[in-house]
Amino acid sequence: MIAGHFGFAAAVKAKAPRAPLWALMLASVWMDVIFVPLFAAGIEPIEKVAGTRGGYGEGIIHADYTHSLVGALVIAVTFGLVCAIWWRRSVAVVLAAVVFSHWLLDLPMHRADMPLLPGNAGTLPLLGFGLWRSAVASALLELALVLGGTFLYARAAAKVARTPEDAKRARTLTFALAGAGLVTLALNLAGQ
Amino acid sequence: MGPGWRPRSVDSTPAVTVKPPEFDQIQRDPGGTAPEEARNMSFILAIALFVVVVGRIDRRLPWPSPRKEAP
Repeated sequence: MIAGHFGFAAAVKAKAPRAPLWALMLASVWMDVIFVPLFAAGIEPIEKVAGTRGGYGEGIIHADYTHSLVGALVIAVTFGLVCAIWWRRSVAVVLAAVVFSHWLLDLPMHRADMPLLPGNAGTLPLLGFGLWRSAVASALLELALVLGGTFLYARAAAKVARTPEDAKRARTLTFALAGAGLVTLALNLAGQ
Repeated sequence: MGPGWRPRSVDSTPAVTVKPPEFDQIQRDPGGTAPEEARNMSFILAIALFVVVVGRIDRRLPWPSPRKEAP
């Protein structure tokens, strides 16, 4: 899920206007950003679900460090502490919360592959409600996040715009967010 | 062809297999893994570029500053 996380970031921007949009978007996928090199190194592999091609939602993701509950909290706090070097504490707290929102939004989607402790220490029960078993339901949830987030962002950006140029930029960003979200979602679904 | 001549059996001819030079290359990439990785990398780069472009446009809107207040 990428589009849904970006949709959520756009929605947060409407409520926390001090936080830069690029930082919110980066924060919303920061756990995946850390996951990519670990995946490439074979530390956090993805296993295709038996009988599938491993497309959209058809993978069991062994992201035992980045997507564990404690791992996600550590990553979120670290991200917030780094942001707090330059930005207000309130902005850093929002960004840390957005980093952790990734875990919360992944929870209903994943197929019981998210551990509580890093490395699945103690082999405790794995979490994930498995909405990815239904591509349509997953796509609808992502679509709601994209459209809802874009709507909230567009309303906030229109309010803050002072000049016609600002209003034009706000419209451009609204179309870019909605368009990119829909294209990403379509690509995800086409790849299944 | 003398009296003892017999046509040589086709089976007795040593088999010669001509292997095209690209054969090994095709065998090494049976599942199309490399194009898949390239596609994933392109996707990641496209997302990164999108975040940069959107962020730059958004910064030009008059949002309140995230920076700490001067002491």
